[in-house]
Amino acid sequence: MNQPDLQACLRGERLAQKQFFETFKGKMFALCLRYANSREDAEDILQEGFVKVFRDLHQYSGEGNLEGWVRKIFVNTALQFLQKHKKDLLTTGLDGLEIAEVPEPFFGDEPPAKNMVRILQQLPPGFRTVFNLHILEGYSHPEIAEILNISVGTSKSQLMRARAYFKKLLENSLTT
Amino acid sequence: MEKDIHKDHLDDYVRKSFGEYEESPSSGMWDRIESELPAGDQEKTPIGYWRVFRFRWRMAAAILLLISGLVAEHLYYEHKLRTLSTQTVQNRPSGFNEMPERVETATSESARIAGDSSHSAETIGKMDKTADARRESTVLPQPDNAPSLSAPQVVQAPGKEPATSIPDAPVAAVAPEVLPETAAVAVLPNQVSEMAVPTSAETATKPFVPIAVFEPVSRSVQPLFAPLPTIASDIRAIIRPVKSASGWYVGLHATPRITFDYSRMPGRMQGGRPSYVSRQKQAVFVTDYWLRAGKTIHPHLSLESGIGYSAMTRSAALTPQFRFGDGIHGGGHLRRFHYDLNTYGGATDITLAMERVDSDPISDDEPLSVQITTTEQVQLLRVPLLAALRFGPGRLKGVVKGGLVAHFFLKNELEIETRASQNSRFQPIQGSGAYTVQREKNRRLFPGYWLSGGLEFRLSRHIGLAAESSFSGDFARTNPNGRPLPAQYSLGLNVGANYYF
Repeated sequence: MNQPDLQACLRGERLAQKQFFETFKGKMFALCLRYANSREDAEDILQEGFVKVFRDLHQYSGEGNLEGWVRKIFVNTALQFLQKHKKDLLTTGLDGLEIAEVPEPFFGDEPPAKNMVRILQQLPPGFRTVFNLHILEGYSHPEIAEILNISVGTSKSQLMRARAYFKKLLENSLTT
Repeated sequence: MEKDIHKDHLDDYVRKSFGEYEESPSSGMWDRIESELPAGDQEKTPIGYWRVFRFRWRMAAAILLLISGLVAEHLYYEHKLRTLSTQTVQNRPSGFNEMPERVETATSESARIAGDSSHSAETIGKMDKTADARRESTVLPQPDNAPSLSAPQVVQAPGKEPATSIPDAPVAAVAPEVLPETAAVAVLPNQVSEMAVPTSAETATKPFVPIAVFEPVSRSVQPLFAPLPTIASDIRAIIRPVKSASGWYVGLHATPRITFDYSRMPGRMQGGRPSYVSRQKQAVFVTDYWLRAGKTIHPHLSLESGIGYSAMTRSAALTPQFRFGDGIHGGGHLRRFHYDLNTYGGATDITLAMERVDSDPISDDEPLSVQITTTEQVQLLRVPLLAALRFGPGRLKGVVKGGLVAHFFLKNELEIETRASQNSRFQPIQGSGAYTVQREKNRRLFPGYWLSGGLEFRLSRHIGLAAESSFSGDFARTNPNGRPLPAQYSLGLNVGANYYF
């Protein structure tokens, strides 16, 4: 992966910014898809995320992995997006959710990740968020509790239920 | 796959599956992102180069045009004066220095010239401009051999037609440089006291060229408290116009002024963070210092330019309104809040770090207001291009000026002075990382305008004192994101001295 020219990006040079975008768009869009309800929502998050990245690039000290820094901004952007659009599910509605009817199974020869994105998008946003933050981003339960403004216990219980829901959906898609 | 899942290694399985997974967004995504990015440095692109080149080309063309106009105007008068000098020399009789003195009153021709103010003014203007050229002339009479200027003369050109048959015979301007050092610096039309004309008998036999003879005006400044008998002459001296020889002048001026803000409040940016405009707490006193230069292109009209400098410290207070949900999680109880602040110097990205005081549950809608005081240090270089209209009968003239002023930021810095949370559940953190202030790539050059009116008193041929009340301001401008910026207008008093060459 070519390292983008950060100084040129900081100067606002479009060619450098586009190169930056091309470097990270694939991975970041995959991340956005995991958090979003739909591809359209994921594109909105991607757009907002890149705008924030270019806006805040001067805060990147150069220490640490650039991709990790960019990923953090996209996770925050995705969370803000969900808070804005599905605020109730993220805060007050998590405890009330029950595993509902299992959706239609999935078919085809698509890569497992693509299948799993579809499964994730079937999860209620609250489950999906906790699942993403803990399993794929590596946040601890206290951190998730802080980020989502819920208790640690709620975070743990929601993750357990999200796992079960996800597993059921995945099994359904693989056995069908 | 199923085996993995049934082994309850779901987490690992999911991580492995998503490991290097990438997905491409739609093709128009970059265009969408680009439309939200601030206008940046475009020099690296061909279009950027072209824009910069085009702008500089226009600036260069405007300056070249101005200089060309001034040079052309100068050359035009030079040409006219050379023509006049040549005609004078050609028409001069061989026995010029021995010409007999005649005491004649002004004829109707001289009276016409004297009475025609525009003609006289033009003649005087030409005289003024010929000073240097004629000073270098070797054919003109030198002070030693010059005929007496106090007496009228007849210049007769042998073999020429009589003057009466040359209706447009030029009025030869007698060179002021042949006057003694204390001699006149300016001449009034009505000072064309006498013009040499031939007697009726002479016109029949001798052609002649009339020469206007001017009375000198003392250069010395009249004393402030003059004896009573001289008051009348003092008044006459004041109303006598003083002309500069070359039309060029330079001046040192200062303009203390009081500035006010005016701004259009922008709304919240779409898909972005809040955008605010700061207003200065109170009117600010600033002083501009000017070095100006001008050129008279018409008896009443001058073009004036120069360079000015001013330094301003502007304090402004603002209370951004956030909700808790607007903050980006920064670990622990820390949240970072971003907003755009638009000030006189341009747009600034500001990030405030706030921490929660307690651990009680909190809603995303919890309001979080922070009172921010900023101090802005601005140094400006100002380049005016003004048209100056001077009018009035004598040394005391009315002056009206108007035109454009280019402003250029020499220094443009913003600092946060104080932060105070208005919600007791949050407090701004201290130390490094408490906030970041990042000026956006604001335009350093922006246009303004200048209007002033007042009086100018010519102490002498070279020195003039000016005092004008001024009104100046900036044209509406925007930040790199297209949001309006606060602009200023000022009321001031421009005072200074001009030196006329």
